[in-house]
Amino acid sequence: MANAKATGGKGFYILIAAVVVVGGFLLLRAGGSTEAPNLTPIALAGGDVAADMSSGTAIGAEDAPVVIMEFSDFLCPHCRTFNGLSGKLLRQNYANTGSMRWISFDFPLWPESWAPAIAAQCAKRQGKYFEMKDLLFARVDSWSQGGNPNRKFVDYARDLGLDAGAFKSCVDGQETVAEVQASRAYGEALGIQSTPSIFFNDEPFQLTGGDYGYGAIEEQIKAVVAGGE
Amino acid sequence: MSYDKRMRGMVLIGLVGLFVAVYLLLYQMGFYGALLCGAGSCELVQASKYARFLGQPVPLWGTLWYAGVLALAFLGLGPVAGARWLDALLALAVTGGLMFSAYLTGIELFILHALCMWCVISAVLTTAIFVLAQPWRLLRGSPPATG
Repeated sequence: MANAKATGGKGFYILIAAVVVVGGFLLLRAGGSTEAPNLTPIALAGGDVAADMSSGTAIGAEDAPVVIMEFSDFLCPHCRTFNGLSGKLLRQNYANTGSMRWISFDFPLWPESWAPAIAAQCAKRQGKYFEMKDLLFARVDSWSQGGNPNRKFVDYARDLGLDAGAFKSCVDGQETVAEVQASRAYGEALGIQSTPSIFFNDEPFQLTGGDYGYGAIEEQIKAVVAGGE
Repeated sequence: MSYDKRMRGMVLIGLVGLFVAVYLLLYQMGFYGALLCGAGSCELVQASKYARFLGQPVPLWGTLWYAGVLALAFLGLGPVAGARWLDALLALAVTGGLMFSAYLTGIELFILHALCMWCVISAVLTTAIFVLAQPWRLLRGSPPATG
């Protein structure tokens, strides 16, 4: 009896060890490679990428050799991380040098994502889309905690030096909802199903790696610029 | 089923649940680019405001809960097996866990209208732990059966 219990106990601890090993392995695997990040081409079921980019917000020279399109949702934690670790830096480092044109599209995934997208588009009317975008991602923990976030958005507009009255009227009246709809419709037409989604010179890519693609995208930009493509 | 077997079952299920919770927590902390989500709307659920509770990510609460249940179930395999305080703590933990899990599932079904596969898995594990713990027996003070 005692022997049977001891044997059973041994088996139980072997089972625990197996669960720990398998679980740990899966957790590490799910984290992806810890080596240099790369951009993995992916296939989307959508249509012509170059069809209509007008619903996006662009920064950088029109004739830049690299065009990056980014689809994001303001409530998506990875869009926030991607914007903080990669998007913002890439825009700073390459959009102003003529190497890259960056086009951001709002792709609200669910109802509460529309208000910040509308606010970003209202800021765009005053020429500060990207500044508002960065602020909305940085302060998502504040404005996403319930209630109407527009009052906070107006505060952010003030922080950015925008005309707060015009901005308030814009967000309260949801004046830019058509722009957000157009942006989202464009993403849907491309077959986008998740955010952030990135297109590098019309090719859809999956972001992998610890820095959310900054290193890989930078490498590709340099390669394209060096190749004179 | 004996007390000992139920505790062992809780340890194993709690361990699996702990990995699920840690996975979701690491995702929320930005360690993973995207959730592996074969079916359902994991991103929508995880991006929602309901993904935080008392200012902290829900997976953090899940991690703490699974770790706590795991520790209590482990204690239930040792010398303090069947102790009143241990059974009371277990009954409290599994009942609270089941209620919180039901609340989260309700949010998914009736407010978000989106289901996250990992949340469903966690809800099933929580229910299994509740059934194994049998808090109604723990609180009644049934003597621990061995073997």
